[in-house]
Amino acid sequence: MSSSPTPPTFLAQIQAEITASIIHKNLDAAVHIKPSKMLTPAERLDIYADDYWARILDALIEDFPILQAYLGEDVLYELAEQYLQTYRSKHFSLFYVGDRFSDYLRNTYQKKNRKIVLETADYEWARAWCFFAPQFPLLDPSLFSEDDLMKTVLQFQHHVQLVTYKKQFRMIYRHDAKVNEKMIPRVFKDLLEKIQNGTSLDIAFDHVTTALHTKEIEALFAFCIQYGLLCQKPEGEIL
Amino acid sequence: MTSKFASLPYLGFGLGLRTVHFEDFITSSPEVDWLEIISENFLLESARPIYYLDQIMEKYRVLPHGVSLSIGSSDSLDMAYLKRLKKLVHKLDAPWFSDHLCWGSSGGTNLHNLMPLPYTSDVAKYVGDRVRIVQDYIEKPFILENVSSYLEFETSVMTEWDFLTEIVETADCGILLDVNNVFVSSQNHHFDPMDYMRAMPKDRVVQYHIAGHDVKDKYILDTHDHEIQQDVWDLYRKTIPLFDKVSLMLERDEHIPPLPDLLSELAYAKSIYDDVMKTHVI
Repeated sequence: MSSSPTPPTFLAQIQAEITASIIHKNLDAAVHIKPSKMLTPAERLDIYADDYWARILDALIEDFPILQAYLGEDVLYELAEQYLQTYRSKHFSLFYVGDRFSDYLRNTYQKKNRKIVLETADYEWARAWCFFAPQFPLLDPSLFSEDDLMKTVLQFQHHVQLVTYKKQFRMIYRHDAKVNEKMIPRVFKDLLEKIQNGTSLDIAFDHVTTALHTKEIEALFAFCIQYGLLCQKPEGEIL
Repeated sequence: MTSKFASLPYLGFGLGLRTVHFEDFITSSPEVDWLEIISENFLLESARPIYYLDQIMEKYRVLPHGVSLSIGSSDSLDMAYLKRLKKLVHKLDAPWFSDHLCWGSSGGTNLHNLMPLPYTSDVAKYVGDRVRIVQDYIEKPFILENVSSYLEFETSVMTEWDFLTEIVETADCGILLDVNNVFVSSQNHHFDPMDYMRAMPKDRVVQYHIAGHDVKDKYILDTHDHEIQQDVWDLYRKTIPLFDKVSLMLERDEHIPPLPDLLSELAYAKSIYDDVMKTHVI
């Protein structure tokens, strides 16, 4: 494939200035715009700025309805706007607009209710991500001997998220195109997080404490197999 | 038609496939000639929307329509995006794919908007060269859609219709003629929309879009959140005789009504077409 041609210099300059004006809500780029019979250059530029902020804020807030109810619309919109000034959207899809919102809050939000705000943001983003995340080929245990299965590097499907919310350790997962949750005893947390990061079962179980009962582990893995939550660690690019 | 676009199939009257209607299309299979999807909503491989798309594809012809190609951006073409798009276009076995004549990203920042371009020959050549690269890479015919706009640049030296024509000739691509967008821009920039329609190269217009807009105090906003206004129906009626059979797609993106309402609107579009064709010989 041929590489991109070189853009006219003035085009790059205009686009950079308009982008900056929209993001920072200033009118500097209006100098490039003609007036119309009804609107000044600044008013014409404002139409695009208003549209940008309405669309991107709505896309972000949509993923955090519980946080909106808890903090109130005005507070959340203010936080979201500050976040978007720092973390501009770089992805072609609006879905990713909120992917660093939890991190942003973790680094900047210091009020008394910090713990519940961060926990809620993590929980809601986990659910949002679960909705869209890729699905890799299901693991078929019948294709493995027990020994091979224990040595195979496994991980959870990309849509499986492990979060603590309202003092409950939860596995958020997708099944039949719907987002579901399963409450998991906290004693399984380390084991599941190891698998989430990709490991073989024999290594994962090396660290299992005797407090875990074999029957509970078997039941949990039977559940993961039944709902297609385990896969072999994919190689190469994750689309 | 004399160009390669003459061999593209006529698809009839289609609807934009939106999430709220997924189940309707799967369970009730209403009669629609074809469906158009927003490409970006289906570019994450094996994501949840694909679950529905796979079922809908079994019943309907589905074509991809993008909003994030940013063909007029001074940023380099996004190869990762194009790789995913190519996979989708071929999965659908689409006879063509489309996106907008605009820019949406600069310096890596995505504005998620369809920003207009300065209309100059330099920019037309730049965009045309990029369209050619994209079309060659995807290996399917590409059609470029005119956008609604609310501003004009001091540096522009030609009309939008001359600019669009220059690009499609440079790139050898087709045109997705959005009737509502022509109307909206004509009101915002004070030109006769029929001047635009008459200037379109007849053998390159492959598809129409038709949609609703919102009338503000001092301008018209392209919102896709209303039923189609009479002015746009009138423009569509006057446009039909200018071109050969052109596939049409009705768009609604906000305040989406129940499917039967959209099907009624689509039937109305077809009735206008049939009515015009009774009296006009192309």
